[in-house]
Amino acid sequence: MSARFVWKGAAIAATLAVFVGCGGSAPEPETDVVEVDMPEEVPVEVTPPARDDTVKYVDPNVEYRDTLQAIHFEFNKYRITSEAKPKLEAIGALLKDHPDWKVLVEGHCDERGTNEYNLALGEQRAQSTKRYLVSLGVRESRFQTVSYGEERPIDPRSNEQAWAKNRRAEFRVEAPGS
Amino acid sequence: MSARAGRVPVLATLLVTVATAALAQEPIIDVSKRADRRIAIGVGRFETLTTEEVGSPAGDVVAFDLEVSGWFEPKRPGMLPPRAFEDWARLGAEVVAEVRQEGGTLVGAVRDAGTGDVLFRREYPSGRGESLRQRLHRYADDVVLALTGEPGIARSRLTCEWVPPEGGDKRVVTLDLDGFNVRELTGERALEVGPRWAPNGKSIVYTSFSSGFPDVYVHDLVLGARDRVAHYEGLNADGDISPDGRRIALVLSTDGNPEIYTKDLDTGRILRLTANPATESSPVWSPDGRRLAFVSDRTGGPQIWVMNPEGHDVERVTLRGTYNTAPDWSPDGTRIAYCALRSDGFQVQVVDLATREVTTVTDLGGCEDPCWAPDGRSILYSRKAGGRTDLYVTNLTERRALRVTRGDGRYSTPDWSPVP
Repeated sequence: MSARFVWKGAAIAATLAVFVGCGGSAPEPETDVVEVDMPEEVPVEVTPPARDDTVKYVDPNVEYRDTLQAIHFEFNKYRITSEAKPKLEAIGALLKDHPDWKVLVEGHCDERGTNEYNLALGEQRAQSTKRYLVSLGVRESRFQTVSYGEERPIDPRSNEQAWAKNRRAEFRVEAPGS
Repeated sequence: MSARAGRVPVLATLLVTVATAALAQEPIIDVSKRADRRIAIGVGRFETLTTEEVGSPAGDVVAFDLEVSGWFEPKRPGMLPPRAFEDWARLGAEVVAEVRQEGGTLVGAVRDAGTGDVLFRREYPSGRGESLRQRLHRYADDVVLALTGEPGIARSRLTCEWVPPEGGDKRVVTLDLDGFNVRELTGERALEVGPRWAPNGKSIVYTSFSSGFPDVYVHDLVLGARDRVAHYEGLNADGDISPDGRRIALVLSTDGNPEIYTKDLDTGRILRLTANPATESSPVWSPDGRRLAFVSDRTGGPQIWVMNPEGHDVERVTLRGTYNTAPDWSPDGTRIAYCALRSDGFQVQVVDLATREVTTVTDLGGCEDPCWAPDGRSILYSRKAGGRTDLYVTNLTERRALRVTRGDGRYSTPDWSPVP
C-alpha cells in the first residue's frame, strides 16, 4: 500500500528562491522558479493517457473538514508557505490513515491578472500542494488536480482581504465507506 | 469645428467620378496625404430605419462602424438635426452619409458636404438572408473601401467569455463588432473560457469544464458540432490553431506542471515544447506559423517569450516589468500586444519585435487580454471598471478607446475574427 515514492522534482527545492536581474529598472519579484532535474531535450513526443473523469469527488465529511481545509498562497506564487505546511502535514497523516481515499486538489487564484495565466497559476498551486503531500509519503496515484484560475472566488470583493482568501488550494475526496 | 468647413472645397478637388452601384477602384480621398486626420462624415440618426432587428437607430449603427474603422470622425446632429443639407458643412462634415429604404432595399450613399455631389451610392436588397443590421454593416464597409481604398472591418465578428447580468458561469459567445447579436456558442451549462478563432474563421477553440475538468474543444461553427482535442490529467487549456490549420498549440500539465505542447489535428501526435518547472501559458502562433509566443515565469514574474514550433530558438521579448501576459501577434507579425501590470494598473502594451520598443496603448487601468484587429490598426481588449467588464477597441494611431459592449453582463478575454 505505502509503496515508497521517489520524486525528483521541486517539492523540497520549491522553497528556494532565485533572483534574476533584468534589463528594466523595475526589480523582478522573488520567484518560484527552481532548479530541478528535467533533462529532456525538446521537442519530446509524448503519449499521455486520457484523464479518468469517473471519480466522484465530494466535499469532505464534516468530521474531516477541520483537517481538509484550504491552504493559501502569496500573490502570483505557488510555493507552499510556512503557514500551510502544518496543515498539509495533518492532511498527509489523515490521507495515510485512509489509504482508499482519492483526492482532488483544486487550485484557485485571485481576480488580478489575466484569466489564462491564472488558469496555469492555479494548476501550479494544485500541483505544488500535491507534490508536498507526495513528499510526505502519500501515493501520487491517489491525486487528481484541477485549476479554476480566478473563476471560483470564495469572496467576490476586490480588496486585499478577499484576494488573500481566494488564492488557495482546496480538497475534495472520494471516500468509500466514510 | 466650424473651421473644418473650410476644407470642403479642397475635398471637392479630390473627387473622382464614381459610377453608382459600383465600388471605387481608387480611393476617393487619399488618406495617406491627410496625416492621420480622419474624414469628417455627417451621419444623421435615420430614426425611420429603427426596427426590432436593428435595435438602435440606423445612424448609430453606421456611425459606430465608421468611427471604429479608424478612418472617419462621425459628425452627429445631436438635439438640433440639420434642417438643410448645407448645415452638415457647418457641423464640420466633409462628406455626408445617407441611408434610406426603398421597398425592401436599403440604399446607401455618400455625398460631398460642400457640393452635394454623390460620391458613392449602392443598393442593398433584402432577400439574401441578410438582416437590415448586417446590410448597414456592409454599407459601412463599402463606404470605408470607396472613400479610403482600405477594407472595412464592420462585418468582422468577435468571440469572448460572457457572464449574463443574472450571474452564473462564464460561457463562450460570438458577437458583432458593435456589441450586438450576442450568441452563445454551445448552450451548455458548464464553465467555458478562453475562446480563440481558428485562422479560417470557421471554428472556435476554447476550454470547457463540462467533464468537471478543463478540456480543450474545437467547435465547428458551420456544423455546430464540437470535438474534444485534449482531455489529459490536470490542465488542458489555451488552444490556438496554427495558420495552416494542421496543429493546435496548447497548455497541458499531464507531465506535472503547465507546459507548452502542440498536437497534430490529423495524426494526434503530441510534442512537448518546453521542459521547465516554471509556469508556461498562452501559446500563440505567429501569422506565418514559424514562431510561437507564450508566457513563462522561468526568470521570475511572467514574461512574453517566443520560440519556434520545435521548442528551439527561445527568446524573451518583454524585458521590463514584473508581469507581462496574454500575447497576441499583429497581423503582419512585426509586433506583439500583451497585458502589462504597471504602477497605474493593468494596461495594454505593444512591443516591436525588431526594435524591442514598447508603446502603451491604454491608460485607464484594468485593461486585459488584447487582440489585434484584422487590419492591424486597432486593438480589442477587456476592461474591468466599477464592477463591470466590457470590451473596448483602441485605435493605435490616436489611442482613442471606443466601448463595444454595453454592460449587459460581463465580457472578457476577446478574440477578433481573422476575416470579415
